[in-house]
Amino acid sequence: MARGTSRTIKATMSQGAVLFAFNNDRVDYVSQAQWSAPRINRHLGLPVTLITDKMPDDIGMFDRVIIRESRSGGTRKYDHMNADSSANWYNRGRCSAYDVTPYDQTLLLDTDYIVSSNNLRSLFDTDQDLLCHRYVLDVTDRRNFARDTRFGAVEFPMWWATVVYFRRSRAAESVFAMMQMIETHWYHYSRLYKFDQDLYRNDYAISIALNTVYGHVPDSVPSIPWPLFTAFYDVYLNQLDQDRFQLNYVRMIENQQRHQRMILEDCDLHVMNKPDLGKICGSRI
Amino acid sequence: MAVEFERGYLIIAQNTREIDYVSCARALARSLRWWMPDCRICLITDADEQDPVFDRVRPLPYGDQDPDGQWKLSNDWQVFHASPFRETIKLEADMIINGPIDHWWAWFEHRDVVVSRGMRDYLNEVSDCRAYRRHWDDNDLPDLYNAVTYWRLSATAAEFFQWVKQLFENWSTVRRTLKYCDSLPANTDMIYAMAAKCMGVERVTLPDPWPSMIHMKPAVNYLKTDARPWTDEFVYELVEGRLRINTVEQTWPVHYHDKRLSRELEEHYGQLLASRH
Repeated sequence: MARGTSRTIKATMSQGAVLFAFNNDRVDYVSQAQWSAPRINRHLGLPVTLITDKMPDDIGMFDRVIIRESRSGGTRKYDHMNADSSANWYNRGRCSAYDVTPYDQTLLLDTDYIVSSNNLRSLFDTDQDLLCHRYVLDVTDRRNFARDTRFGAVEFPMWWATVVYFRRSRAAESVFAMMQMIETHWYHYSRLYKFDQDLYRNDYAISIALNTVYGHVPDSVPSIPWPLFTAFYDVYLNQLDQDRFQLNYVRMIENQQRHQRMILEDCDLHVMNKPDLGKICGSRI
Repeated sequence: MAVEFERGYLIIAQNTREIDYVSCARALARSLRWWMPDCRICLITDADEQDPVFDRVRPLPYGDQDPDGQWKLSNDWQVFHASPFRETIKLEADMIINGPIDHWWAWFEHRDVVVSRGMRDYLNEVSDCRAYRRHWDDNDLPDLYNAVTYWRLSATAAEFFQWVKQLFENWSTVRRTLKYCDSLPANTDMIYAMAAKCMGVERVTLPDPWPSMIHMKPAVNYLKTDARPWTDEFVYELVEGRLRINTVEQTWPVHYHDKRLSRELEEHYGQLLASRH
């Protein structure tokens, strides 16, 4: 009886994805979101809500568009091959996701996350209030992320805010409320966890919030049980087919640079090379 | 020494000019008492200590072997002869526990001697820091810590502590057999490691890094300098019976190392115990 009731409640819960996209001089995040939304519909069967600061011309792919003020978290470099690629990163305000989402169960995605499978669908069937990735996997197996499982001088464990699943619950609400507090008092937390205060990072904020909400025991924080598949900044990306991508990169083999190619099919991917992703998405910048 | 209790925790503490180790021992004993009210605790000391948190206070059975020493470590072998327990867990004085540790008995009870191996950082994670273990690595010695040592009355334990005694007493000769240790003073961790190596490491350890403790030496915890203690760099909170360091709940015993903390810990656990009565 109890199981049946729980199933009924689940069935009536609304589900959807939320994308935050605030363009700057270098990256057209809105184009990324417009390109991503139909993929999310197709693979995950989820409607997509866009949170942005200006109504885009084409919004047909979105369930809803919510206009919010963009706020800069600092300046960052966007193209690691180009020294002159810095721009404001409007990444603050992500903590409002809990309040603005129109869904009971939400998948909060970065726009540079390419959905090419239905893997994330399984998160909606878990009995967890909030999940994100604890570990990252370099798809080229060059181990570029050895440092990215930690942050700050005292090596605090890092969870990634790239993919966050949450459902309406006290725990999820607390995590986002805590993120809000961390964002507001960024300087204080940068001193406590000994990281550079110049750039606001949602990854750091959610990591600190998760540790706090889950009882100050990092080991007890539930996470997505597979790593975040990621292509580093120096991986060049082409789309071969709808869900088929070619990755070109250089690997050092016996002290020699060797050009390598990888075909990735039906596999989600977090893309750090924004210029290449922009080309695929039809960026207007 | 006659067996008075089957199982118990033993702390050795001799004050030096600079450090009140007996205060450290009281803090540890109070944390033990908070988490395990019925446990037995014995203090080995040359001080006149009356605190009722200890079930027994015993002198060193063979007297102070190092009356002018700074560390008094060379008395350590006497714990075997001083313990009133059939099974003993010896804990270093400058530690506190953050939860019951009586499940450790089940780990240990099939062994005669268990010396703890490896240590953890403030994130409760097994540490690979070797900054303080150069002499061990140079000499291929096992990575042992006397901070947590178990033994039962047995021939194995008698042999182990006989090795410890001999190695302490002959340290000036022994260290000449080691690499890069010509001027190294004797220390209990190294003596235990050598004793283990003499007897066979597997005879006096468990296969995994159990038992374990959080070691708060700065480099273990990613701090850049030993010049400043961790208490100057990290925020710490005492939440009921637990210590939280830089917002991380400590789930293993903490070897806090900075002895200045002992008074605060002693007082904190004293208040907790008083609130229970």
